[in-house]
Amino acid sequence: MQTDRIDPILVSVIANRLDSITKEMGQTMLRTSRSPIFSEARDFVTAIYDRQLRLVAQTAYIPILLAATPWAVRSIAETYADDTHEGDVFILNDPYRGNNHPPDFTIAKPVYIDGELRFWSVTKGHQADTGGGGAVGYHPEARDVWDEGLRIPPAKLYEQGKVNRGLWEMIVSNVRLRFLVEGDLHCLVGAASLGERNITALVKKHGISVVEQVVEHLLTASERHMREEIRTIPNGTYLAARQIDNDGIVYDRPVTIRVKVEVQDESVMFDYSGSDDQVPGYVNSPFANTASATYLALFTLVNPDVPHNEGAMRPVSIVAPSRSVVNPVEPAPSTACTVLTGETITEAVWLALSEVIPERVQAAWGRWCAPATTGMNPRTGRPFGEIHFLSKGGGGATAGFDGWDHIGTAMCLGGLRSPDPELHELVNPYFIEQFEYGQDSAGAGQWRGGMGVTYRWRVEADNIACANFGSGTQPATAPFGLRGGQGAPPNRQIFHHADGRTEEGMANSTNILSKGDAVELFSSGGGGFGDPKRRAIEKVVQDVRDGLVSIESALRDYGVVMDPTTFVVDEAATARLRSGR
Amino acid sequence: MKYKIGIDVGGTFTDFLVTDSQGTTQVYKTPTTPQQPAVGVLQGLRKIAASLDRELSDFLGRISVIVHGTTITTNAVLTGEGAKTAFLTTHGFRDVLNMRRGLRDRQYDSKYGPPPPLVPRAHIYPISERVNVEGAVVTSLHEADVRDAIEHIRENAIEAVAVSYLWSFLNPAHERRTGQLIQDALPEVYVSLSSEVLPQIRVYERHSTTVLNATVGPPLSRYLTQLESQLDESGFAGVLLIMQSNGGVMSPRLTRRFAANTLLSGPAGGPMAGVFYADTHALRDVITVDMGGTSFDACLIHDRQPATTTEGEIGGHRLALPLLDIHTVGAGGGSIAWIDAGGILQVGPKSAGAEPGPVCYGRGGVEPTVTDANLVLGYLSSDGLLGGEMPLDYHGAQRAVTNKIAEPLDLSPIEAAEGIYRIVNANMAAALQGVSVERGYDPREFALVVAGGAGPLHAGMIARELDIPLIVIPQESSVFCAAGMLISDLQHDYVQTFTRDWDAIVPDDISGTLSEIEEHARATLASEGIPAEKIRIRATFDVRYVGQFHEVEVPVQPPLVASELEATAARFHRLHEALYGYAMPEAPLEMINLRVKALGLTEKPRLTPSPLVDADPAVALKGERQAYFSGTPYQVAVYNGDQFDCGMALAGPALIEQANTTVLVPPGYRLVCDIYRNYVMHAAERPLDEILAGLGRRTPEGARGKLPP
Repeated sequence: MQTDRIDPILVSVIANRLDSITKEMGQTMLRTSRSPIFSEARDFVTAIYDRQLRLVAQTAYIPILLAATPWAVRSIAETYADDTHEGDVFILNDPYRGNNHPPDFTIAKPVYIDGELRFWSVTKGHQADTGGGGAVGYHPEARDVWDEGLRIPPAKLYEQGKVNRGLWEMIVSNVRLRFLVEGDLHCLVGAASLGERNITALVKKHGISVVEQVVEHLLTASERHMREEIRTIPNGTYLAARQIDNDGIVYDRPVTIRVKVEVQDESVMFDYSGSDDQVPGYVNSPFANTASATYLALFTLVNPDVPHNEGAMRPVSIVAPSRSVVNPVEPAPSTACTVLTGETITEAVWLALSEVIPERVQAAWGRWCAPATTGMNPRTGRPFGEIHFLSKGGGGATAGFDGWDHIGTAMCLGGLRSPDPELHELVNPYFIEQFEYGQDSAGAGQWRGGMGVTYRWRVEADNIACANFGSGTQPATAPFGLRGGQGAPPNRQIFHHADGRTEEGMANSTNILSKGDAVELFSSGGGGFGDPKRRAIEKVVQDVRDGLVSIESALRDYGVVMDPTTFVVDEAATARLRSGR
Repeated sequence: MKYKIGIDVGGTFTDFLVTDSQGTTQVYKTPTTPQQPAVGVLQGLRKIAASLDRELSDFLGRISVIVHGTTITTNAVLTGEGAKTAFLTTHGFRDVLNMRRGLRDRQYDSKYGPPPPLVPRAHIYPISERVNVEGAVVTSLHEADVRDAIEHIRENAIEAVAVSYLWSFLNPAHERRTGQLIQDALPEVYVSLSSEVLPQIRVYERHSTTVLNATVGPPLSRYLTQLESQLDESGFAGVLLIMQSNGGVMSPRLTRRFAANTLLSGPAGGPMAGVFYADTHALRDVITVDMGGTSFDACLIHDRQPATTTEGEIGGHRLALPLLDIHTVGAGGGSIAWIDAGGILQVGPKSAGAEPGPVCYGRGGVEPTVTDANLVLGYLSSDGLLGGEMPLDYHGAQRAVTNKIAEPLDLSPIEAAEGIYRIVNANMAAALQGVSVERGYDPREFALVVAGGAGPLHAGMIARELDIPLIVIPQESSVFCAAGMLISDLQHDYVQTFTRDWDAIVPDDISGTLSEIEEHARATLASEGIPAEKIRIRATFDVRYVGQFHEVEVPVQPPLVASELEATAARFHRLHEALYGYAMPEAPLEMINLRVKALGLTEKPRLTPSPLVDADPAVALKGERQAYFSGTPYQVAVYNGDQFDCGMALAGPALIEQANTTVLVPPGYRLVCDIYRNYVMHAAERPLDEILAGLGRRTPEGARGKLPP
């Protein structure tokens, strides 16, 4: 074999290994994490960068973290260009220095091999608390980045192997759930160190020049793969707009995201120029997050085997004007962007491309709208912080497949594990009264949306902060259907106060909950795909038997006439209704 | 003469391993009869009796123990042919079972659906009742709801019912009463209560396990009844034991009640066999690997204890019972090599399976597989496997490798075939990394015990990849699981959730709970005929840092006095550090579960050693052929395994062909045959003695004389 030619077998072996290293880092994080948002919701990403700061391999357990690290790593490496040493561990959470949003701490460890900086081992995850107002990092009333809590610029958490005690203490002293945050910091650093060890072993085995050649080859291969995928989308310009209900400060004005998708042969541009200017509330999306939501949407439309690395991102350009809601400047608050703005960006891209490749696009998923709550649990004597993932809604349908039930926001694409109700009651001062699918919560269609849930809990302690964040509570922002499929009903929340009062919950507001209050959430299912009157009759019957679809909806939306007790279908009446005669 | 028999019903063949009281072992195989597996079992027994020149009844009368592994339950779940099942659960929580915690594995793939539900929602009955986090009744059981459900169950001709309520492991009264009502009304129905099957925190995991138990209970009961009556009628008077997923065995009576324990028992014999063969060389730390046609199973054994897990899954449904932690990846002889859209060569996880199989089987396969690559490289003979019963199509294999892999990648056919071989080896090595390094173990301190038809062709290279110093290839490697069954002990695992802040644990309190479980365990084993002196009890706690969501299982040594609790906490910190790279000695701990493993020790078969001969392996030489290593052609000696005698040794490259497998000794490796006719292989540059000593055998002298120097 010629020496200047790369051995394709080594490419395969090394590429697989790089990928499995990021998965091993993720497994370590899953097992060692402390807070539920890490271990149960899996809100983290692990990645390997090369010395040119290119994303080589990653495992984003939550897809909205797909592009959450490139700008952060660049910011760290540039800040410490002359001051990076073996054994250093860097930390960053500042959204105005490359991070996506403040609760996600980025940890980056330079990998030195024989004294030379060769790679970076990177981990990043959502912390149980970041100080500031709000709950578990979510602060609907935040007016600037300082309201949102601790702001950590690129900094050394470890210096040449030695912990920076002052910084460590500074961080954990400024958060409410110190014992959780401290554990999760260990977990992030531990996983980054594991990555460092494994990368080093890989390089020692094959030699640095071979590994670097392979990385080059791998990124080029991924680029080629993505270009081929984009080529399957017809050239053209496709437009769409979606909205967020409000920004938490100005309640009567929705926030609009506009996208223009331009497909030109093997490249694609996502231009958000028509979107709103940056807003006073916490839905501003730093560029890293806007890019993540864009890649998320795109990666669901192409072959799932395309690797999520820098090569695959080369054919994609993103235009997001400075000072807009999709690329804000300091000091705009931004905590809610990973969910609220991310969902809206992804929906806009899907909707735009549904015009040209409808069979590949999914109808909209149920948006997130539920609280994060925090306070003291008198039964355990400990503080707690909880994001109410039990409310997860349904996924959108696509040609050939119903949406997935209780799958959660599209920002996670099914990677968000639903909490265990018993562990939830064990840790938090809550008693769950109901947690099950809501009848008719999904959009009707030839392919039905996935089911949303009804989730109701009673509060067993006083003085609990309840930061209700989300959107999709309006008909205009509820999940859309595609190709004749119906949208799903909006998210809804009801507070049942101990004194008997009842009030509708408001997206992006904070309440104080007291003992005896109950909170009831009705989460949206997914949108439907295709005309519901073309859904197979036996599927409609099964849905009615199962209580997922009401007999009224079967008649009205699906055109199926059946006996309410025996579920026997009146075939003649059904045929008449379905043919529209 | 008395016999013990291990019977492993596989997808294609039913394997029998017969040992007699003189220590002789013999292997038999019969085709599996999937519709009526008991028929195949009886056929096999008849065949063995005939070959021993005995009447069936005489032979069966001489069998003291049959250990039987069945895949009845596994197949019932995978094919959706379990019992028609109903599920009763707490009102307001109807869908926790079918939500499956709202996960979708392939996040970017929108074109697939979730696995079919174990119980359709229409047959999930919400029952008004509620117990709270402290075990107190908040809503008492509405028996009218249960009676309504019973009516539906009757009307719908449902065969099995699972009951799992919230917090029932703290207060099982509602479940027990519900079970009683159902059993009284419908005595024929199979009832499975979560407080009996898995009294442990985590709702979905408990529900799913309880429902799986109900779903597979009736088909397993029917099968066992049929098998037992046929064995009885034919004169069997010994003990029948059933293989469990945890590597232990159980009486048929208890297996009927805890049918879910058999769900992942298929590969569970492997690690047990690994312990047995490792013992013959006094090795305590080994990794067992089993490479067949479609998959590669690996299990780590530390200090003679196979790793266990409670994170099992079958058909997309969670099984939270303790089971052997067998890591499976899609790598086997039938794994297909392909080039992805980025132009990178991949092997597996898709497999050509047995039908059509690799291209060289000549049954219509067109995609090049690992077996095809092995043939092109000369590792396999075109005379084929099974002693020449099935010739292999060399030209077909070469054509497929050339057209589909070599040409697109601009490689020679040999380079392409070697690439396939290396990549599948790297994939398997990564799986071993998963069971060792990821869990805090260094593979260089382990020996590899190899099983499966394809295993002995790849073992050397996998070991080299991870610097594993020693490879053991048992003679019975093709009926490895059946061998493992014969050496398994009776085993019952118990769990009881016991959530406490560590500092709030009252020693008497926890001792009381532990003794209750222990008493129950002893009584259960006694009912299976195990005398007290053969019973071993091991207790562990699941402990975690407060707020963590995963626990570490920590061994405890009764009596549970305060000092033992302190020692247990220290053990937890050490284990956490070893497993995850950090410990927080100042952080508060909490206890989640109490576990008890109860063993009833069985008598193990004894292998009869043969004397080491000082003979030249040339007597077993059957020819030579060209084989490639790192692109270089070698004339490689090919030996007949049947004539390879104890004490013979050879240096690689070499091939040893046997009826069901081919052993590849790569260049730089040395292979010896031990006194039990098992092969031991190692890198030639290190003396065997030094390797064995380095592996830290408990009694180095115990192995003396079993191997040539």
